[in-house]
Amino acid sequence: MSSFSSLFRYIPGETFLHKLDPRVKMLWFFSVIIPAAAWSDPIFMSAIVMLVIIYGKIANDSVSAMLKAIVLPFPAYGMVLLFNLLAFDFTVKSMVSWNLQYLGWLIPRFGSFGPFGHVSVESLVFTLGVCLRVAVFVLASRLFLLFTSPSDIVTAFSKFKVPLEMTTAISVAFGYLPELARQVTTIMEAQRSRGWQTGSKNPVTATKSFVPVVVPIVLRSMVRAEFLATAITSRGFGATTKPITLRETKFSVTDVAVTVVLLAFIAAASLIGAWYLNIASFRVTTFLLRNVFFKA
Amino acid sequence: MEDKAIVFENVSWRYEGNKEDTLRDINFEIKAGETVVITGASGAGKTTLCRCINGLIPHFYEGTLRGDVLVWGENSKTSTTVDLARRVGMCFDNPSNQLFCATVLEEIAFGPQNLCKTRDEVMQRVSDAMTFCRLEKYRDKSPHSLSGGEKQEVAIAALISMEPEVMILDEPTSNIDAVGTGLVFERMRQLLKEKKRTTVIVEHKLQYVLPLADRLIIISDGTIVADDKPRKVLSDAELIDKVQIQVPYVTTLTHRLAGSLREEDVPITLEEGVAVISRLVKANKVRVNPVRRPPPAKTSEKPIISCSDVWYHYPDGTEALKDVNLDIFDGEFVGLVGRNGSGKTTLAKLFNGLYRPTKGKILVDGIDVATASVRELVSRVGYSFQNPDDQIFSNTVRAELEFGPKNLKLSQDEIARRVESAASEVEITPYLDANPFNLSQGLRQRVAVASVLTLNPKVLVVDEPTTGQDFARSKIVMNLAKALCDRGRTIIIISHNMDLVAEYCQRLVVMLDGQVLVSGLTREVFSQPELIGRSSLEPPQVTQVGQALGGVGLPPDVLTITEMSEVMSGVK
Repeated sequence: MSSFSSLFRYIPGETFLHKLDPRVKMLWFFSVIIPAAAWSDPIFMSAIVMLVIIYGKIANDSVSAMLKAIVLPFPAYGMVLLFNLLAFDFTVKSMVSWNLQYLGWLIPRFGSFGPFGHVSVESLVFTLGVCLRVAVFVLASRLFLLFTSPSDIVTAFSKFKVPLEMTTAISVAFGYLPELARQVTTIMEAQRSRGWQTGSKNPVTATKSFVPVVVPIVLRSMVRAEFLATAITSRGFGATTKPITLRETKFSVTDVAVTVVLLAFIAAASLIGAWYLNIASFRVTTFLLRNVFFKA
Repeated sequence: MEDKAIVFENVSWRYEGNKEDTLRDINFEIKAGETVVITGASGAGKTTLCRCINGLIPHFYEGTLRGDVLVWGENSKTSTTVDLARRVGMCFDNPSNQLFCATVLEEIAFGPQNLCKTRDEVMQRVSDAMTFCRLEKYRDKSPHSLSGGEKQEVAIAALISMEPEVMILDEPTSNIDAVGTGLVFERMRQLLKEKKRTTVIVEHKLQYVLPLADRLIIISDGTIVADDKPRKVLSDAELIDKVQIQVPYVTTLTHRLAGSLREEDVPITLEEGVAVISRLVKANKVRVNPVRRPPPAKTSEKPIISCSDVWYHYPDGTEALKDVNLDIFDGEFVGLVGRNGSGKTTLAKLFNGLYRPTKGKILVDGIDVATASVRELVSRVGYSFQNPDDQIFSNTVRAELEFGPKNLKLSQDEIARRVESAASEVEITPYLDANPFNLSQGLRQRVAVASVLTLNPKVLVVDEPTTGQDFARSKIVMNLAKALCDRGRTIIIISHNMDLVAEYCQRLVVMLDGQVLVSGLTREVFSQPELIGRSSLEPPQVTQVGQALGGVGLPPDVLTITEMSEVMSGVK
């Protein structure tokens, strides 16, 4: 858990991305997230992943840490695969204008049971695209938090006229994450010391098995929330609706230039990518696979 | 300028939902520039009193306030918390509960950002506070990545940067180790020396804080029972016994040796104590008796835990343990001590399988930790965590105690038998059907220990059982551990409290930088102050008295006041 929090924390630096105006940093985040949400073709999604990794290198991030962040949602990838194999024929298939290249069944027929989950080239390609989308979301979030301090996030929100209470809550939540992670680790160790284990195959039992961890986490967090509120109050919070920011947020020429580039990229990615090239329908990868591996 | 900084006039306070007042008819004044230390048992009302000064009461907490609290003449009832925050700064007991920003810089700047008019002013204040607390090198680090003492320094810097006229420090060292405690008090000493501000310090560790104090206030059960100059208050031996606070050992010792003391003769520091006792010996008012000690209790020769060349690396590569070789014997009461980050908790977590050694071998009751399952290990080594609230989740004490044995898949009869036995062992049988969340902190700690005992471990590790607790409560926990040891269990206590370790542990294992610095009988270990000083430990004050007065025949290895009273006796 603490390694999880260390993957998503601000690391001060003097890189090009660190120096951008917080509003431009937010725009950068959306410039990656919007195409990732709009596209689903694995080849183009891989290009976005590569692009984010390049951004990461510019921000002095290590490749191994970025790969860790990509691997982190591994259970989610498994769920996506399972869901798509079982439900593809009822959901995404209607979007496809050509005949699917079927490969077999996920669960074959056993007497009168099955078969279930028609596995096709298209369902696998679509699944891969969705998994890469999850990877982009995670990676971009990590990078955004890495080069944007919580106070910058607050500054950006306040520029967008978000109420001070809300921006402070966001800032405190980010700042408090490492401590929360430490707390969760301690609670899990305390319960493991009493023989607690998870891993039941029954989903109800598996969910119930987390009660000994969740209850102390919730209760301790509630107590801490009160302490934090008293600490924040005691430090003059509320004395002004516009606290002094630690650095001046002024749009520089670089910020303007980056904004223009990012807006152009978003427009191109959304309009040209999704509509003109039809990347959203994962046809490029499918076409290549069907013509190279399944030509016969 | 107003001469009275703080005035309490007939103040009583009752929290919403409570049946009794937490503060009752409090009356006192603090003059501008005075440093006042407030002490008393846990739950006496000290923190509540602080909350009254900075306006959290009545504006943040709900309840009934009677009487008036005036801060620089302004009534807290009519001032807002923001008005008061400009004048009264408060540092709380647990550093982790008051730091909420991503970097040290932002943490220190948070107050000034709310109170200042310009960015330059904010940055100047931050820079000054950071320099004063020597935190420049941590400027861009997360406060939560620092040690306990450093975190509390950040909290103090955040307080200083607000430039309050009144500073309140509510048990600023209760959750940190000896190094951190020294660091915090050194910073406070410099702070008071640099600029005389009105300061209120709530503290149990009087030996550190009394040299800073102009006045000492003792609170007991919501009322003030003493309020005077520290020496005057501590000259009343009867009162000290009654309110159960931990006064400096030298004060207690001179009381025992000399009977009643004049105010000016009451020592509050080690140096003063040594001087007073030395005078008493030279004036033949105190006799040094020959030391007659029974031989140390014989322990089993069979190791219950055996570590050979043990190394442990955290997943991030941090080398936590390096070549540890150690035996813990059956039935021992062992203290595992050392500065924060020395590896003591990591070592103990290897014993019950929470961590597995990277290299080397640990045998627990003959089982290899590297290959044993956690369930096999937890039924041999129980681990009681510092805060009972980290594990309690059930709605009855009985259910909480059943959790461990149920995880071991024991039969219903066996579970019931173990629950009854563990409850009886820690004396919580009457509370078995109570909701643990409604019990006091002390009882919850017993529930936590009992819930580990239901696993029937031969070894019980108790991690920091006395942190954040007052002297009386700490003694209760240690007595419980002693009773469990007397019934045949091996006890390993991880603690920063050298006074309690000296009183209860047969053997000490001192850790430093992931290695065992020294392991031996408690008496022998504390006889080597320079060696253990490398791990930022120092012997109890009473031991230091013996070491300082070796010239008059005092032994260097006296561990408790009782022992010292046997070595020295007053001449009638």
